[in-house]
Amino acid sequence: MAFFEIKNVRIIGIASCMPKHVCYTKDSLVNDKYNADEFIRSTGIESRRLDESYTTSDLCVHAAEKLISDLKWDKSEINVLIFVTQGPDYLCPSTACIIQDRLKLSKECYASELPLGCSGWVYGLSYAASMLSRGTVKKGLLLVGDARLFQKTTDPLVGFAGTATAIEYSEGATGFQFHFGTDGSGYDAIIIPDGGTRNQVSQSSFELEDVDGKKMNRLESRMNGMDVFSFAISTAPKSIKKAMTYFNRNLSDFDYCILHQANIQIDEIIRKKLNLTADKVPYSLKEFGNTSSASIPVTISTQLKGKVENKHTEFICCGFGIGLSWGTVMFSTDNLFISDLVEV
Amino acid sequence: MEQKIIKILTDLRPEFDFTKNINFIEEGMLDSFDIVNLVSELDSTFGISIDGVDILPENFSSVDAIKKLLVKNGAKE
Repeated sequence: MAFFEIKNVRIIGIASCMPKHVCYTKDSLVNDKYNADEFIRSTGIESRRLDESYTTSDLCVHAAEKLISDLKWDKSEINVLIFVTQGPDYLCPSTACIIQDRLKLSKECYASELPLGCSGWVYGLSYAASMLSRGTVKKGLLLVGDARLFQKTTDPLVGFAGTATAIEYSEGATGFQFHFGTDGSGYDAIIIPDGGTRNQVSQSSFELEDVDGKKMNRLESRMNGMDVFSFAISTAPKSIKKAMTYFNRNLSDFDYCILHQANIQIDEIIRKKLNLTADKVPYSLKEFGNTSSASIPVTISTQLKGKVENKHTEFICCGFGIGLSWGTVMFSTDNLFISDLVEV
Repeated sequence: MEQKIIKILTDLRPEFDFTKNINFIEEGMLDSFDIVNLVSELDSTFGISIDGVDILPENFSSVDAIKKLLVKNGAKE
């Protein structure tokens, strides 16, 4: 029973950074079978931000600098840095260490990295909240994102984004209530087969294989769509319901339910299974695509800007995907600060 | 119910004949991308919510298999 409650900590601000370059779905032939209109209808994705000259850490650093400046935080007081991505700068060392230096944070800083995808923001939040809840350190940054095309020529879903979430110790704050789950038997539902230590890069890694009618090499991400779909529409609603039951909450308690931005059809099925009205479930998919682990903070920062800054807001968020891994978190914010979108 | 299923399938992939007695998955007529759309459309047309555990290729391999899936998930014949 992976339920956790972490008190005395709260989110005070969120910033997102994306490349300026907009890639419009209508301008691209998605593949031999689907034209752009069909693809937009099915996924809800009309455009994405892509620019391979930026890494995830570049985008996260820009978002963090903006948020630190907007909040007027003293960098020397930031003692926790959690970086979540599937696209680190290097295989080693940890990019979290590099970001500590790029942001000129104190060397008295806990910096760690989580290689998770779509569930990553929720998991990262639990790490940061755990570190801060005792009050021995007061301020932490959760940097989450992905900026990598997992299929060089055919990936029609992914949008690049880096986000920063500012978390601080706050005596008496209700904090976070979590439910987490993992099913590693589905590890190969979304996988890049080569490049790790199990299958190191070799000449055969670059040879094209036929995967579900597409030619791709073993350094590109492949997905068993049926398995992922089945997993998403069954697991996400269950996790949300489990979290509410365990912590004695109701969906009517929440102003917003933020789902990982997988695909409009999948998210709409989840929304309908939960009997949630459309106004409670905002989407950033249309403009920004599937931004992986960043999709929850991107949705909050781009779709709720102007709606949550000067009030108390109750959130329930669910991330689900590669691993297979999922997590639900419930929290409230008071006067949440949302930085203007940083475009680079 | 069969006619509604065939209409939904044909609207989804008009280039194929779904009245033929063939395996839609093995013949490449439906892929996972189509199944996502199909489930959404079936849910809405029949007023049901297909359980994720039922999202298996064999449940979408023919009109008859889809009909059984719908009935199992509460659709009225």
